Amino acid sequence: MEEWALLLNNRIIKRFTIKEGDSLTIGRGQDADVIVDNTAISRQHSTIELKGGTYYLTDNYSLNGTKVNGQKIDSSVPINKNDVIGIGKFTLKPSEFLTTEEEAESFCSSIDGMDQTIFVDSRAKKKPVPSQDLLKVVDGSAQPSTLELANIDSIKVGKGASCDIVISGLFVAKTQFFITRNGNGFKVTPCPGWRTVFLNGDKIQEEVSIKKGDTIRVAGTSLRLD
Amino acid sequence: MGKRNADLMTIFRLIRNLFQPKPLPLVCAGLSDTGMVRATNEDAFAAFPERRLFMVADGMGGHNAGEIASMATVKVIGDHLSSAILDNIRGLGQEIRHALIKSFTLANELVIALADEKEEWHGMGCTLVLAYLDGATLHVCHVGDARCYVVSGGIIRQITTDHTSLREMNFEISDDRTLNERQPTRHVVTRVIGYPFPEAPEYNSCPFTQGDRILLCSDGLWSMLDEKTLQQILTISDSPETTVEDLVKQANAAGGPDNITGLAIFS
Repeated sequence: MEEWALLLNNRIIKRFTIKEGDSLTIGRGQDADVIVDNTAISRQHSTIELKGGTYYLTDNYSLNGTKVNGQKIDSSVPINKNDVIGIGKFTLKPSEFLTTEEEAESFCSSIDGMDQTIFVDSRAKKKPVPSQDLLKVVDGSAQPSTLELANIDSIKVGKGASCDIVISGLFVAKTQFFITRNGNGFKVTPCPGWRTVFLNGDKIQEEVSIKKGDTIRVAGTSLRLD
Repeated sequence: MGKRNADLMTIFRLIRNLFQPKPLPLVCAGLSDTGMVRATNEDAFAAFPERRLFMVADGMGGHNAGEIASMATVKVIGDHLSSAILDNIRGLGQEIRHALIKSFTLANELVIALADEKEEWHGMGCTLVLAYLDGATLHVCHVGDARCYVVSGGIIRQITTDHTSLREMNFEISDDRTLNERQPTRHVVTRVIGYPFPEAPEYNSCPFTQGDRILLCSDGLWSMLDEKTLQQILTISDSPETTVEDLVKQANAAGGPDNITGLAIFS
């Protein structure tokens, strides 16, 4: 038994297994063995078979075609595992040939054909994309002096004990500002209070995006996003 | 000095609460159905009307692991967002946003940790939509494609945006289909409980006034009914119970290929 994967733009969309004697249709239709919910895939787009240890691929008169190494096929052809196989805009390959980047980018489900919602590949979870974002105190005092932002979506900074970074200073608010993850970056949201929040020396009064190297200052304490 | 400060804060909170607008009275009802095709129900919902906190989760994963994910999620968030925590942040929009996002992070850590405990739980997760009513403001936080709708003045509005790759990938449309054609679809969700969030859980807020109605639902419900039907049922129903019963009935009548969950809140 061998596992294969369907990818779109280097992201794994679907995985399935095939064993000797299997003949699996790949298509958009609910009666396909490997269902791909994309209107560019025909209802019974292609068939992959494993017979006598050899894989065969057939195009089933699909609209957008089935290709092997760039050539459209119009009948059943034997294929090698390292061939470049195109099912419409999708790529089909054995999982053993997936690259590390393709594994890491995956949002694909497990093999259950009845799942309506496709999401996370458990193997991709074991290799999280490392985040090196760090919030560091560069002036004044705060606890902690460094905070790793990997897997943190919202942090609270202020004088209050419940803050993720506690800063001191006269009239510093219990909650002075928030930093929230925003795509691959972050945003800072100042809160009303006696003290002003400065970003790179400029006063801010509403939410703004921040990037690596930016410095946020409140009273005598400065934090830099590294 | 510490005790004195704590006493002063308590007094401050009491005074602040006196000046908070009186909360709108609420009634709610939830219903979760396996649907016409699935063997089990992996959705979960939770309502804490005294705390004005409501959630719907749609679990996913083989071997019924989705049920574990969705139930663990609503439980841990329900436990975390206690009355004490919510009372402390009443009227403070940014604090509420932070607390809701943090609760999602907490649920995510728990489900990821649970998934590593058993082979059959690997890959489990859930989408989640949470609504919290603070005075005349509705706060909504979500990941995935579970949705929140509000009907106000007879007009429905979807508050959440789906975190699915239907929006993120460039799908080409072939000649024999259009994207608007309604039929059972397979969704690739890009933000779920159970996997490190590529972006923070999405937060939205909107006004909520007397007479408004809220629906939290899984994709098994909204994908079977068009907005006009949702609007009609939510507007004309005389109770949240009949609302969710009607919605589930109609979703099943439309095929019910997925689990169906709706939680209706009326003011």
